[in-house]
Amino acid sequence: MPLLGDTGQGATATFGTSSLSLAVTKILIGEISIDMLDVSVLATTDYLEMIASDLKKTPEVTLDFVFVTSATAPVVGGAAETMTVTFPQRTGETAAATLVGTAQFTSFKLPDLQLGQIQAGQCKWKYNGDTGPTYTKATV
Amino acid sequence: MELRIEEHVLLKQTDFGPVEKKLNQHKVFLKNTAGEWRHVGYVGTRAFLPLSGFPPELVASVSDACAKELGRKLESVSPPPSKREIEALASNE
Repeated sequence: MPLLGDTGQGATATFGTSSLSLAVTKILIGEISIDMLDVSVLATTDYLEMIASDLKKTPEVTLDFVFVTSATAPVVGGAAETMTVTFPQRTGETAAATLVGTAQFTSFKLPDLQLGQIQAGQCKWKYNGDTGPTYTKATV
Repeated sequence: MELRIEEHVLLKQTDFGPVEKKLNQHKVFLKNTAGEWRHVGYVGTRAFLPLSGFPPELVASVSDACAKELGRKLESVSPPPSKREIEALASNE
């Protein structure tokens, strides 16, 4: 049986309008979730009976990167743009899996400055639900 | 260089059925020396955005080819700093 699974090495985050070029060290992807609504009635026994709500909540993505003072920084609250997380492309895949949609930067942390520590920045974005976000599996 | 550009769209489910929504970017595919098409990056509204690991030496030529294919100018975006550049920053060179 072929070995399954892969690490995050080779993943990419791209920004369709701001075209930021960041030396990314970590991409943390939040969850896509939906609330469950209680529809239990007096006749219900044992467990709560629930149905899914109408709309899903979009994920927030956190990006850690090596901070370079000459690089353009993310603009918090800037115009919405297409933000794409492309998963590492495995051997045999024509195109890697992606998570893509329109989003805005919600936070940007400048690096702490101290002896013996590489300057590290962090930014976060949240998909705004206008287009996507959609996860598309890899194409083989 | 054999290049293929596809418009990047998503399907949005509506009460009237699925609707295609544009993302204002294109996917860029390149044929490698083994004859395989590989996804190498995107073209956003301003520039070619390479995927991790794409050779920095090829970014300019792919960007020019995309600009020609799409019929519009693309800015030159520097790739993320290399390990050597990061090491130089860390040692204050």
